[in-house]
Amino acid sequence: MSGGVEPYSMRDRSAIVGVGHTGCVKDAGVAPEVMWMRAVREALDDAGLSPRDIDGISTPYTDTWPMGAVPTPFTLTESLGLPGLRWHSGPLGGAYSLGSVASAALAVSTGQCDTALAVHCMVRPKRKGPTAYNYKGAQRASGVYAHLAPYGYSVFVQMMATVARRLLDTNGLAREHLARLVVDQRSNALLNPLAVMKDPLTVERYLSARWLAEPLGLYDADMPVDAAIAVVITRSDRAGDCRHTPVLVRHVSTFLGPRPDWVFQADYAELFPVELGRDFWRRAGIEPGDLSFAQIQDGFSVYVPMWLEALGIVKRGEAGGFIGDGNLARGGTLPTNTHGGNLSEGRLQGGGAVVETVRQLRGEAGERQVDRPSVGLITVGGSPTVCAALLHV
Amino acid sequence: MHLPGVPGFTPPYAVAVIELDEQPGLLTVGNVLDCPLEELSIGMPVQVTFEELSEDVTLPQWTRRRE
Repeated sequence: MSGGVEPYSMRDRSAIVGVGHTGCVKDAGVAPEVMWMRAVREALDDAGLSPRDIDGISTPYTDTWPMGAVPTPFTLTESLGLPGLRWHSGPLGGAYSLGSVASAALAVSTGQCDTALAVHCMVRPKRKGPTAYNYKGAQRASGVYAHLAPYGYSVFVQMMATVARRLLDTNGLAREHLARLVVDQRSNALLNPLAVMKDPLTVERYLSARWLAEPLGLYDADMPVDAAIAVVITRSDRAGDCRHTPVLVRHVSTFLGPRPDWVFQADYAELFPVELGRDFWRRAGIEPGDLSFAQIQDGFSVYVPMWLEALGIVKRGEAGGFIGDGNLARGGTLPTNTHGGNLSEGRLQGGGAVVETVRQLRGEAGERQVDRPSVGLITVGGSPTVCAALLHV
Repeated sequence: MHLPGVPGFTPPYAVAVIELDEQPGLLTVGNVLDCPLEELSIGMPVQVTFEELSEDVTLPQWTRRRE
């Protein structure tokens, strides 16, 4: 780590002191409220705190995303029996779980509140059939979708398939590289009791799976699950009073791209903005070479090479080879998605990545523990609203 | 595209993002109607055609442009 602290830095002023995670399953058999309250109770217990210690709450709830399982700060305040909050927020950077944690860390760092709770909850669509994901409107298109739906092009995986095609044909990526990534992540998930996927995966099965939208097949898309996570963030000067080793929030950065869709982009290889990467490390005072591991959101497998290049961990066009050489595997130079990622732990939109990063940095990751880690990277976001964070001990 | 259940479409079918020669940087989306899927490639020249779906609805679509 290097670099002087900038005058307005949030650097290390907040710490994660508690995490809770229900585990990922295909059908929890309980209401979302039960799931997220279980995660919240676990996180508070993990921190050694009580609900009354919480004076700030952020969740990824927004009016523009149809995520009915996610509680609002109001819901949580009422459920925890709190008299009120000094601070509340939606997600920062539109990046779901990590965005909520980032918002909370910023609020704690700037004295808006002392101890904040960030919560995320996902529910597997129970409706049968592919229309469960057509919520952007194959039947009723508006906005940019009015230009896409008439051509049978309105589901996220289809749009990311277009991007993947370009990466595969022009940016040095091969399906064999993605196979290595997906298979390695599955093997990580088999060591993670919270993961939904319990069976090993082979390169042959990956390569022969049915297409969802060529060139993306069944194992390139994340696994929808029922699950909830909760994270407690407090002032770093108080974090030592909590139950476990505090995990310091070194820095968070977000970026809003020039366009809200995944289609009408000038450069698909830079869909994840390099502008974020250029700035991120400098503000954090950490360099890619300092990383002990990374949790890179993998809503689709191709996000991982895109993030590696956007953050300058590898040069443009080199992510495929970097992955293919096994650098992201356990024991590699940059163990990545050590919990199995969204692909194999389950679709928590980076929530599992936050919990995993904390447990790795505390040395609590069991059989999948990275050797003496000190710095972990988390990235979340699969569209031009993204968020990245650096945590350390 | 291979997902079943998209109304009016029988998989597999091709969706392309097309950049207009007349205005570089202007992108549009359409289906490529006359090209076997395995022959499609990035950078392939196409030309516009108009597909009448009904009396009221006509969509701009694309066919392979032979040089």
